[in-house]
Amino acid sequence: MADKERLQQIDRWAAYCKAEPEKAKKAVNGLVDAQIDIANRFYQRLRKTPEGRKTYEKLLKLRMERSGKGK
Amino acid sequence: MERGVSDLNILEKFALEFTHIVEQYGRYIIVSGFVAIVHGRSRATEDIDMILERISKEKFVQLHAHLEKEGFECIQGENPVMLYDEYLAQNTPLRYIRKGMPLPDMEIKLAKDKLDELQLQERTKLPMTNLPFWFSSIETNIAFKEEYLKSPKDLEDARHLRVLYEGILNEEQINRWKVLIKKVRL
Repeated sequence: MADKERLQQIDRWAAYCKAEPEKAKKAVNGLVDAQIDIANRFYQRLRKTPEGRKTYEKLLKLRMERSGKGK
Repeated sequence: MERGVSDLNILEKFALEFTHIVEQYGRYIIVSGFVAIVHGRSRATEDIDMILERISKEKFVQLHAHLEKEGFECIQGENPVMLYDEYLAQNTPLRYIRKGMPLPDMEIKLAKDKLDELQLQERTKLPMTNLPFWFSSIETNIAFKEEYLKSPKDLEDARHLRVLYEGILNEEQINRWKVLIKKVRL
């Protein structure tokens, strides 16, 4: 999506959030829950094998390294 | 009126349980991406950023024990003295998750400078969210995103907040924060 269209979409969505907060909230809840559920299920599967556990540990380490960066 | 627990998403429930404990030990604020998400920004995140007033090591040991008792764990380790000395005291955040659930996590750091302390002093609840958390003000969040963080994601968050708070925003406050950020952090 071109930058201009992307910004227009942000403005449209923000205006919708303002006009229809309950409907917007429901949509965002679905997105947030799905994202976290999917990621957690992936990590659970990953940790089932010794190799996967190692990968999982590496991913956790990466997350720790990102802590506080730029905030 | 605040939302019922059934109306909350996973991030908000996690934050509610976590802040319920933290607020017994010190003043906190939630900042950055979560602020935009609770205002309807439709984007993903894996963490919530929290600034906690600069509590003592002794107090942190108690807080850590309380969090563990309630089912949270710190991914950097279990020893609270080490966590305080090697992370918090060095201004490196800690990450807490629900035991066995890698996501979401609470990234918690102690106030490290005048800017963090000022945000804590000026902390506010945000009625538009119907949530009981303490936040840094919308003006502060916008200033940090536009002046300091500046990633495309942060600039889009700021734009979203600007549309939502159009006509209410205090531009003088935003500019005041931008000046302070330049002075203290840049």
